[in-house]
Amino acid sequence: MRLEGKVALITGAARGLGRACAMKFAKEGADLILLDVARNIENVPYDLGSQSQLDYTADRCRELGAVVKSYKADIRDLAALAEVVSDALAKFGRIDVLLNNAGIAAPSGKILHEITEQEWLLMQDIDLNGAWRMMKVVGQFMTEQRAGSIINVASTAGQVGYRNFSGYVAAKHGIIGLTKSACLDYAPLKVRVNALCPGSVRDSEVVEGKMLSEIARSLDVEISEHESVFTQSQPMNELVEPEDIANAALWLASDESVRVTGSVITVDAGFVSR
Amino acid sequence: MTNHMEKRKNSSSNSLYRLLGNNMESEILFHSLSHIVPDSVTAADVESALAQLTDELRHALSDEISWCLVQHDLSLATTEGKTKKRIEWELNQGEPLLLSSTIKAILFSLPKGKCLVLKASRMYFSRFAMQSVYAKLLRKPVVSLELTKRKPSELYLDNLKQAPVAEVWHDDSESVDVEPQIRTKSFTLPLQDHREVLLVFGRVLSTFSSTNTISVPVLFDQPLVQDAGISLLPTSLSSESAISINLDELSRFLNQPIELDKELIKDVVDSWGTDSNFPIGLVLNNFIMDSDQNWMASSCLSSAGQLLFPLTVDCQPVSDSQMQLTLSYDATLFSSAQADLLENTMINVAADLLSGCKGNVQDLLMVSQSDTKGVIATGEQGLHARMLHNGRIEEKVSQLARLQPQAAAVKMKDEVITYSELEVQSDKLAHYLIEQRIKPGCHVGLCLSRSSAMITAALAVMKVGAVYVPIDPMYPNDRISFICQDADLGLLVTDSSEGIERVDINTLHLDSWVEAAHSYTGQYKIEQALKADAPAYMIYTSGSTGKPKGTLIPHQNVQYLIGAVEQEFELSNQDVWSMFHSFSFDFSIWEMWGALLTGAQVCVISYDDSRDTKAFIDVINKEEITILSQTPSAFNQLTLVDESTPVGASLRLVVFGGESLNTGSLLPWFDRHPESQCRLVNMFGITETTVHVTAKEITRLEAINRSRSVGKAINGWNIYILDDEQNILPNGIVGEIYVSGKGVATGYYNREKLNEERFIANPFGDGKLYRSGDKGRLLPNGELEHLGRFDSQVKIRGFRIELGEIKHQLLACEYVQQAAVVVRNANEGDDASAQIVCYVLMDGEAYSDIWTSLNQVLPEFMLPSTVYRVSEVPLTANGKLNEKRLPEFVISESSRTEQIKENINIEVCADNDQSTDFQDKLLVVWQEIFNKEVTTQDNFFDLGGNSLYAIQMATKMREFGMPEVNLRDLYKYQTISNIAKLVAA
Repeated sequence: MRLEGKVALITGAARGLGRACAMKFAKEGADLILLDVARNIENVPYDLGSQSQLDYTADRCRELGAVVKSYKADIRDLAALAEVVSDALAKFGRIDVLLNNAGIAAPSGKILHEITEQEWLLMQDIDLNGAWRMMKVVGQFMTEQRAGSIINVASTAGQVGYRNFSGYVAAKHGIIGLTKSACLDYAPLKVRVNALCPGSVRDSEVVEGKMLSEIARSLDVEISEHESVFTQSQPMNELVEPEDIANAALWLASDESVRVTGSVITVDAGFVSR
Repeated sequence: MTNHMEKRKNSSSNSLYRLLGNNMESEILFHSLSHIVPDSVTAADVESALAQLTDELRHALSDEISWCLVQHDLSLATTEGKTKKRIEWELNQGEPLLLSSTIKAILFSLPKGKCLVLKASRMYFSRFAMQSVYAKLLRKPVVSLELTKRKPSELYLDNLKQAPVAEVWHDDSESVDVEPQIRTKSFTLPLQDHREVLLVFGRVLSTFSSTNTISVPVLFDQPLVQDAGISLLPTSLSSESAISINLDELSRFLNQPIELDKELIKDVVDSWGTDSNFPIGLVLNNFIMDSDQNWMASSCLSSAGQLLFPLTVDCQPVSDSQMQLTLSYDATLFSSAQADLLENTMINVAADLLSGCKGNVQDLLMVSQSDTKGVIATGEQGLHARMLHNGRIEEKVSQLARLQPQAAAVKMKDEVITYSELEVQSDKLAHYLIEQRIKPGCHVGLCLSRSSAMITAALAVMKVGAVYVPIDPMYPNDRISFICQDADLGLLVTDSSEGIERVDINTLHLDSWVEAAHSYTGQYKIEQALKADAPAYMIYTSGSTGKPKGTLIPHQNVQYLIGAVEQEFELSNQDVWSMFHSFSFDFSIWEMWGALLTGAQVCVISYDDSRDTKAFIDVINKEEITILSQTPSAFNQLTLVDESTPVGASLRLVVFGGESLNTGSLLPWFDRHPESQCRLVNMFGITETTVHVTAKEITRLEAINRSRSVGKAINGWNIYILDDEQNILPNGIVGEIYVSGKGVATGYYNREKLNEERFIANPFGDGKLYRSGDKGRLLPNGELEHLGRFDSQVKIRGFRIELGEIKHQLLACEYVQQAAVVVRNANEGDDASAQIVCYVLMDGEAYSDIWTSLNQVLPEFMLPSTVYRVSEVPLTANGKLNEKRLPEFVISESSRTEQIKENINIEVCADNDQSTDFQDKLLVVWQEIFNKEVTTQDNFFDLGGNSLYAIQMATKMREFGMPEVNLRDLYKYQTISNIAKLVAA
């Protein structure tokens, strides 16, 4: 039980990587605070996680032995997030791990100058600012606690560029910068901050992942072939499994990585090394 | 090279040959053959055929190809700790890296362009038909009884590829150092090679015998080759019969003595000891002959320590009186519960056998007496029976009228009837019935269109102790007449404006009844006390012998039904139920009385609204319906329209019934309506056991797992899964579903023989046991998995249909000599696109007469979509319909995505001036849909029309702004000119 006694807060927990990490953490003994917007957002062109999915994730984690509380909140709403965290702290007494996983992949797929201001701002607001907001609210507590591990889910898009994805790439690069700066802010206060960069992750049915097919849609890749297209782009000729990301997150969350901070952990089947 | 080879994606994992791509510079041709299938000779032939193939390829491609055979035993890989799934996955990825290091070295050292053939020798990949393999690859079966002249080390290699056996030793003492868990022994059998003599084909494993007879399992009844007195018989892994080869005879035949060295055999057996597995004693194997005359036999196998097969039972004698059975199983394929079940079953059967059972195999008890109770208990919920109200239906409604008189009871569109109004009105109607001498037990037919009046009428009938028989006014006249006769109706109530055509039955128009009853006041008088176990209603269902049959259900059954779920579903008088289904389907019983017995409201959905999903959703939202009952097909439609016209927050419970539910399709609904706000419950039910039998809550978990469970029996109902002899089957085994308990009907009306067959004495308790004809199995947790029917009854979009009834009606047509009726999905895998397809053998040209005649007797949902004329109706050897050999159901491209609608019914618009205009337009429409020249006298069906064309026609007519034509009218009038006349009229 690598997370015995720990309380972890995971955003974007309804499905996908959020669900995979939540279940992994639950299995390793953590109690969980699950957060998701649990509804569709205007101007995001695909269905986001739902209440039903969030409840499902929470139930599966409970079956694995975790005490779970789930919350519906928008990562763009600082006040709402503060309320959630405050309520969670009242119930759990502590937060040891923050996994900033909430994020959108689209609206994307346009050459830079065709992106509307609204689209640009939306992408930054959710993918970059969202992580900052959570760190603001939770970091405050963690630094007082003099303990904590913050994991920011970036992407290989935070390390290299992708065509027609400037909003997403900028936000993810921002996450990495934010991580390094936060690392310096928090290091003396014994709170670690690291970034986790997934490559192309397979849309698994079990965790109801949707990211890869959405990226494919944005990039105008044939949906039926998108898996093989992305597979071929990764040097190991394999897609990353959600499990792989969950394993990396687990290590970063646990005490095993006690002196790892400001790091960028890449799980991408070799993509950025090309 | 890659271009010429098959893409990996396209080959199934069962194929013998697969091309595994990888990013190394060679392709790997994966040849998968179980060790047990080919013997050395045939294997060698397969390989040489393969060599030839690659040779030809090389010439064709002018690439450097060499051919290298690598023996690979996957068992070595498994001992490296990988699961079978992982291995398969790796192989599918083209990843050879799981192989032993020797083989890795070979692979990596291959220069570019080489073709490598890998041979795997585990059974995991060996699911294919032996015959086709050999037929394709070999031209002549090869024979040789035994033996080779190989060196011991070669022999070892051969053995290695058969099974994970090792530790060989020979008389010449050249021992090979291998892993200890594998053992073989070898001994000599002097034999002469005779290639022409084939006794066995493939490998033969035979247990040790102390006599000179070897038992050879036989797959086929006939030899493959019969030539000059020599038979060629292939072997099999499992067989029902065996032939004996007597070694004495064999040696006579071969003109060569064959003797088993009994001493040596005894040594071998002894050396294994009693803790070994029951030995396979002898392997007859074909080896390539060598010119040398020294023969050595290949020999015995042991499976000690290794799991060769996913499920294995080893038997070994422990002592003279004891045999130990060891069950080994692959835990990734079988759960421990299943293993326990198998173990118990084997013990029970063995016990039965040992107790001297002399009967048939079928008589062996799979479940011991003591276990039977446990098995039965899983399906029994009868102990928890609970009546909602201890009395008749109308009594409860009257009671509610006193308690909450102003509460809304029945709504339809803008009409609202309170409980007290319902009570007063049904009292009046009851008065009139008594005047008309309607006595308790009398059957009163209610042939009424959807309205609040039909509920009031039903209550009135029940109040006088009579039984209401709901009849859909949209049924064809013949059917209505039949039901009237068959049900011995004392009175038929109708609201039709057409003239009432039936003579023998006392008929009453609803309006007359209402008017006549108007002046009654006060209480009516019943001569005798009415009981709750008397029948409340009789519903007709499709009959396999050609005519429908009526099921009588008593009042108390309905009380138990609602009582069973009241608490679980939190039913209250705050609920608003929809009544969506026809009065003549028993789903409506649940809808109506579920509401009215609990003091809730029932909202009758008009026919039009029930066909227009958007309008229906508007009603749901406007009336704030809380409980919705739907067939899965209808719910699919609802889910689609819900995207644009959302169902509101009032809906808190959806009950599915009528057909099997595809839980996976519910995910989009859950995303928009979380389970915490709207519960979904799937209920399996039968008319003969009062609407529902089981209930299962459906959440995202069930949807993601594609669960097929229909849940446990509801309180008061019991389920048993029995075999043909009506013995209890263990949980998990498929059998027939029998139901007992509070829901069992009184029986069919006027069907003595059928009642005897279907409502039998209950060996497990009180009352009757109903034999459903449904296939299913009980899971250990008591949940039922419904697996279809044993007969030809089908459910199409919730409608229960006996295909036999349709067939009978076809045969009733004058010119039809033979007929076959099947159900096909227009869109593969999509049950909602199910259609009834008929094939007839007929003489004469009166094809369209068939449609006319069917139209007269069958309700809309039973009308076939197509009737094909065939020159023969193919039968099996047993004289049953050979469905596989029926001509394929062909759907035109344009209609491929259309679903059959139950009918296409909108008001016929009468507009005289437009009749010629109408004809012309209709001509254009028909020409478009039939894609040929059409005249106004051409018959729709003779042109090839069927219900799919009817849908296309309706769509186009709508596009042209034409008045619409009822499907039944189309079937009746059949030509453009007749239809135009109808429209003009």
